Amino acid sequence: MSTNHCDQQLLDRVLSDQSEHPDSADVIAHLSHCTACQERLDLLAADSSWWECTREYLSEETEATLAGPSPPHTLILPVLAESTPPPPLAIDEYLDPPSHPEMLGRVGKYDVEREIGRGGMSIVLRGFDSELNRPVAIKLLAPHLASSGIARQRFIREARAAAAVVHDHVITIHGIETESKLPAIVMPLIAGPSLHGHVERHGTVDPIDIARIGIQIAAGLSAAHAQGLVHRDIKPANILLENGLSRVQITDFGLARAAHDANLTQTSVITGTPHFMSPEQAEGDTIDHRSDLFSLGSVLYFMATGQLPFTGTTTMGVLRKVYKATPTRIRELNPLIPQRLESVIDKLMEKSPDDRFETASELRQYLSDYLAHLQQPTARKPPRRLLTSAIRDRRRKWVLGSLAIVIGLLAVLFASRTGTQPKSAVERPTARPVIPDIDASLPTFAELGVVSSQSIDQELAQVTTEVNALEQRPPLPETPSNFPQEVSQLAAALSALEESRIAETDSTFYIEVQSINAALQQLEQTIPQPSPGF
Amino acid sequence: MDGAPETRASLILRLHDRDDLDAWQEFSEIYHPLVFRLARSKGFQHSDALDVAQEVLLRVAGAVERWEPDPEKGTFRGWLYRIARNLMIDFLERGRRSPLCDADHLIEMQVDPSSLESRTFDLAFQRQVFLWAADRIRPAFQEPTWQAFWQTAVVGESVAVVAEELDMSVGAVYIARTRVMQKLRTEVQRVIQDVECREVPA
Ligand SMILES: Nc1ncnc2c1ncn2[C@@H]1O[C@H](COP(=O)(O)OP(=O)(O)OP(=O)(O)O)[C@@H](O)[C@H]1O
Ligand SMILES: [Mg+2]
Ligand SMILES: [Zn+2]
Repeated sequence: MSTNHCDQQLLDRVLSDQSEHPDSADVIAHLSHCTACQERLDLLAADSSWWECTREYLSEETEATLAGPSPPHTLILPVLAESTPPPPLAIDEYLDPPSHPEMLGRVGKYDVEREIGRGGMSIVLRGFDSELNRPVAIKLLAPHLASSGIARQRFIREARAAAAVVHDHVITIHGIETESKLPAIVMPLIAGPSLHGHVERHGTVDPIDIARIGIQIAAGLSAAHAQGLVHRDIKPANILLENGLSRVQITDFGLARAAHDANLTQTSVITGTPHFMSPEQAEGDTIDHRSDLFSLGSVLYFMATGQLPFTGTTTMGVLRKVYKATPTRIRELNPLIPQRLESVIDKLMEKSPDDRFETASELRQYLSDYLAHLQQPTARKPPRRLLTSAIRDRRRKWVLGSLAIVIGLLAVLFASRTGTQPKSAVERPTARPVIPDIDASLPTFAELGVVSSQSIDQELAQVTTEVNALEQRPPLPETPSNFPQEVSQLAAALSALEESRIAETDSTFYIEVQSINAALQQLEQTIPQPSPGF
Repeated sequence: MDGAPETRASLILRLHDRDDLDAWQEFSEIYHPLVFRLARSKGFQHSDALDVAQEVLLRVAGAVERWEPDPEKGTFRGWLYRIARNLMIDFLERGRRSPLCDADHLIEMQVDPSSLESRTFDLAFQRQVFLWAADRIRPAFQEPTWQAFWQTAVVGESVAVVAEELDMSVGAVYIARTRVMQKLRTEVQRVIQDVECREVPA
């Protein structure tokens, strides 16, 4: 039995070597009784805080304090359907032989220089028009779709329809090749990245540019819609940028439909990204031009927040959200987005087409007015506020919130007047002794009819003055201690409500202001009056 | 005490490469259970908590390229925590979810790194890394070696008793447990630099 302590080297070897070695019997024997070497070995493996942590974190009791067992294993991969690389494909196989050896091949009369990119249903090439001496972009229908006669016909038909839309913000179509191995659309070559590429690289876009781009897309859509053409696949990748953000062009009009039909004959898989589809598309309902407005809303959302409005790991998951979920509030993700711009996007993204803007040109008009205001805030008035379901929901919350405050306060006051001890704000009594019947004192919506802006303003002014007076009121001995706090909460609720007024004559706003007023009236009567003589 | 151990920047930076599937796998193995448990602890039901965890990771996945190690801007985990908190609130505000918790409770979740909530989350994170690392290294050891480690280092049995049970000498138990410990430490340190375990709230 060894009496010499183990040296450092030996201990290192014991630790690192998984295999046995000649002197291991001696080492084990020594370690069995030498506490000094035992401690050194422990320390060599890890210092004492590691041993403590190991016990702490791996023992079962910790489960209770640090919240529970593990979920079933899930692997999150960054790749969404969209970004799966397409299988390698030798494109020259589908081209006619080149007329110059340095070229890749030929499509019709165009020489092909190289591939620019691929999408779900097409391959885009950079080509050259030697007659007109200019570069062009050639979009080929993907081989897997071109094998379907229906898809070919559809592709050509949609391309012809798109060619008929002549507009500054819709890409021009130079020609359609039907005789080549794969049908192709020839377009001007656009230098810039797509809007998708831009946001990926530079992040969110500022409000003025969002408005400017929104106007351009709306104008392009409006021209197409006027000819009965629905785009069906408005998304950042289909908005090409020229010259930074100053000019955009919409591509791929109607092509989604060609791909969709072809797919339906094979499988029911959706090609391309589902993230910008409208709820009616997600459901497979019939769609009209307002579907493009929803998608445009999602594009603006993407610019404003740098995020997709609806995410999920699978296409079905995304579509379910498109159909049902409300995206995270824009101003929460990017507080620099003004409220009006947020409302424009919210309104475009309303689930029901009836709640959106009616037409692309109505949107264009609105955004133009808004842009003018952003550029000259003092000279140009902002356009009317929009009423969206998001605002309606928030407003409902404020009103309920402020009523709850008033009711709670009344109950406290009542309790203190009848001699019982006032309860603290935390355990606000739920008994409702003197709660005014607020609903009964309010006119119904129908009774209200059209309200003049004057009466709304009067009511608002009155409520504001009263709330201010309450805020200023010096504390009296009889006033419950939480009184000032409650009043200032009420004031905050009121100003939040004020923010949401969408028109001079907004009758629901009127009802809500009145409901606060009614509650205030009651409140004033219950507050102890200063005794005369003071 | 200035803050909890931060996730090693290298793992997070590796996520910038979308083809680094190992990095992505490690990332989801560590963070998915972590966020899941956070959501469970806030009263989310099992399936909702799974959804929350999934969505948080997807958000992070979508934005991770923009995250750079920068002490000014706070830690990666702080960022994750904020995303998780906001998403949970979002979930509740979309309605009809998990009657066991309410948004007000979540809004109170402190984002401030020194708050108790954040501290607890840090500790939960460390625990998760230990669990994950233990899972990973376990197949590399024979069962008696693993038991020598587990019984003495985790369960807290004395070395002598465990040696007796496993029919090993005391020296062999020491060697076994330190080998496991060294490997565990190396694995944990791939993710976090230093550990600390005091102050686990009772
Ligand atoms: N006229 C053009 N000039 C320059 N680049 C273009 C032009 N048209 C398309 N591109 C680029 O070619 C690539 C492929 O475009 P394509 O339309 O095939 O795919 P996509 O829009 O990403 O997806 P989808 O097939 O669903 O429309 C994109 O990166 C796009 O920016
Ligand atoms: Mg496209
Ligand atoms: Zn010794």
